[in-house]
Amino acid sequence: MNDSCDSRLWIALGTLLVLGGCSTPSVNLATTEPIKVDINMRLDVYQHSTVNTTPVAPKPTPGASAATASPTPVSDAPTLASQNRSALIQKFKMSGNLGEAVDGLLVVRVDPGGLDGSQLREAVREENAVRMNEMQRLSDEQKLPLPTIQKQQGTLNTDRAFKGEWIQTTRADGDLAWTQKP
Amino acid sequence: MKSGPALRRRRRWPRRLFWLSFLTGLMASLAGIAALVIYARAITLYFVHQALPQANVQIGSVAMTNWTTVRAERVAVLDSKAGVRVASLDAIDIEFRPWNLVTRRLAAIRLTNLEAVIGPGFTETFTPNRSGTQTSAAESAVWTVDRLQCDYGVLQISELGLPAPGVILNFAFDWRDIRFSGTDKQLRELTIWGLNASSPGAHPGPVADLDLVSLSFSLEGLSRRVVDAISVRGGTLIIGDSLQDLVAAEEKAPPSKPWSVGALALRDVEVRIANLPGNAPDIRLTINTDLQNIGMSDAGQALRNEVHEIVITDFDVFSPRNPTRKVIALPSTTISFTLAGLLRQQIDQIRVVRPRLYVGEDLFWYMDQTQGTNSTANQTEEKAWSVSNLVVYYGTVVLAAGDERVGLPLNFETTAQNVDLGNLAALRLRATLNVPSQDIDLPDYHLDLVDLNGEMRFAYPRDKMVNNLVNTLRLDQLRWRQFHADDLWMAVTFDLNQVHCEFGGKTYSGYLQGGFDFFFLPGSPWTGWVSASGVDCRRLTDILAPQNFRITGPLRFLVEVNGRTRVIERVRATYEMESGGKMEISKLEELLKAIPGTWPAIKASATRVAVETVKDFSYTSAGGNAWYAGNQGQLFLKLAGPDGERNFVVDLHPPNAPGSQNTGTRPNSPP
Repeated sequence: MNDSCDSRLWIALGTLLVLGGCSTPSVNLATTEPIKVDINMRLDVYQHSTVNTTPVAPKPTPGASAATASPTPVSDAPTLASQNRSALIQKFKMSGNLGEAVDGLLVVRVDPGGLDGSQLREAVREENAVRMNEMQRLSDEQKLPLPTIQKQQGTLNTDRAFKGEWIQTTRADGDLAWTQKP
Repeated sequence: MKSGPALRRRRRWPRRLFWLSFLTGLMASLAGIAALVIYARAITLYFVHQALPQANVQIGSVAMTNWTTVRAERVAVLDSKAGVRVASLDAIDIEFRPWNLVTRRLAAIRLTNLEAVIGPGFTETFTPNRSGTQTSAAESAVWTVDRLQCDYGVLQISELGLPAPGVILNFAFDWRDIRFSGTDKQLRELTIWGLNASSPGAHPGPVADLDLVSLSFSLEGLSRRVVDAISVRGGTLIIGDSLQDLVAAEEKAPPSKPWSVGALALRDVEVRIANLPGNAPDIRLTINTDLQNIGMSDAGQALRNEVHEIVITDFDVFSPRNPTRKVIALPSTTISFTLAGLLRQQIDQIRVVRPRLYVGEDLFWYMDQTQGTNSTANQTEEKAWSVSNLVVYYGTVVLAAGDERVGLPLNFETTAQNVDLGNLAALRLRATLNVPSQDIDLPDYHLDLVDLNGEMRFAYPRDKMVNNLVNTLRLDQLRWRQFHADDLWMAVTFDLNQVHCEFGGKTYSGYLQGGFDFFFLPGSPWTGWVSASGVDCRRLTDILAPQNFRITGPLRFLVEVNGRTRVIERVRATYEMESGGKMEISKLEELLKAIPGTWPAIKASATRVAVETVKDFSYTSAGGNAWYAGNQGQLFLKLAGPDGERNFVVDLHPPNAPGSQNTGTRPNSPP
């Protein structure tokens, strides 16, 4: 047992001596392909202007009279919450989770689940509440049935959808179907 | 030689004969007068019957008011067939000289409160006896009246049927030396006042209300259907369906010998044009005309063909659903027309200056309502009004959504021929609004439109050929801030729900196309999109960040926007470089120069290498997307090339965002 260990040790030392007696090998650092560098940059832009959360009468437009100008509805005031909700809805629309229904409301088509899912559901609930209030107001103001206003707003939302966003359409047989805005 | 007494007796006989004759004549006269007094009623009835054999004349009383005057009271002339009263008099006084009766001459006839009704039985009632019992001598027997007088009379014409109008008028006359024959050439004056004429046709209603009419004529002229002069002063002529009925019936009536007028003068006669389309108010104008030696039909023709022009100012049309909202405002409208045209419900020309067209749902409701009214009219076969030539200058289109008003910054003009005012839908389709060449500067929008010209048109229902470039606006150049596009076209159409616009043009070596829809809904929502291809990105980035940042290569992009009035609600953009290029961040050159010389070599070199790596990058593909909503957004840009990838993310945080925390999740990742 001890003899075998000694012999291995001697062989190793001999090898080292042989190698040590030779010249030092050169190391080539050049690459046959150019070095690829991937860079990710992120820039955060903060707006510091004061948000006016009170209704502001729009600036008179050419051809408009002061009598015909009406103040922006309170529900349109850009509060931080509403801005965040708008941004969130926009993101989920682009990801295909949300669609515009024929009744003027938002519908969750694909629930992403988890935190995103709960944020999505909360945003849709709040947005639909705001929309229903607005449609009820229009119904009272125009003395039209609420379903009529809802259909009107649904058509408007469909018309204003961006390319690729999901919209609900009514088929010839009356059934509803989801399609992407062409 | 006879003795004196015999001679005296012989001389008495002539005297006796004279007295005998005188007494006999006196007795005869007294007997005649007595007979006249006693039998006046019978005598009067006899003569009346001789004059009007077809009439049933009733006389309340006849009396001699003096030795030379007969007075008949409560005289009524009845149609013998129907028993309808055709004329009545409170009294008629006939003054005569006995010795003139032989020569058929009366001193005077005075008519008191004469009322005549010219109806179906009138002509027969007052037709002289033409039977064979009358001799030519009797026909030639003509009465002469030294004075014929009527202080007040009423004439009514009714129930004659078209084309005769229903007329009621007051009159008076005082004529001298009347010879009731066709040879009396002396001019007579007839004064008429309070003349009211109406149509008994399908549209019963007044057609004329004349204050004062003076007629000059002779009996001889009347027999030839000639009136020497007619003068009308004051009154109203109403152009409408009622008059149209009369004219149409007259045109269909069998031809008859025409009447002629030596001189026709109209002074201060108001013409009122009623039943104009679109609930327009009646138009009124005053006519003053002199015509000479023309036939009545020619006079009517001349009057009807005379061109009139009126100017209407500040005429506004309001929404049928909301009377406070204007749909059309016409500050100045000049209407040229002839009465003949009006009778055909045709207006020769309407010239409108500076109209404002409030394009929105109210306008289309109004047009729908007008069209509905027209459909109903068509069902009842009523003719619609039309305009031979419609000219509009300096018109302005105002987009109207509810109470919101947004004026389009351009003027339009249009001409149209044979416009059917009863079918405004057809008018919309035919009418093209020409936009004369103009430069428009909109500093509020940082927008300049250079040499805008072309055409706009309505499309209702929405024109399927919306991309047809025949009816478009052309624009030499559009400048927005420091960007510009050239040789642009725009096609604009309007319908019940929205204004739809598409546009295209050259920009930075590429071509862009876009469109927007402005919806007629509360809050004035709108949506728009712009796409472009082949855009020289270098020129764009040189404008965006001169000497700081540059990307070369052709760019393709699509930007979609939603907004309300001037507020942008959300934006989404996708972009892609169509081929390879280079990204240079020149600004980093300054950073390289600013590397302190005191830095250790390895630190300075590492920094230089890092900056150089970012500063210049040649890519083979690049693209990304961006979005904006709720005052926040993200931009993603990815460039890939032989030296690796460069991924940029820009987060735009909303105002007053807490700290540097990003809001929300990021379900979409960079491409």
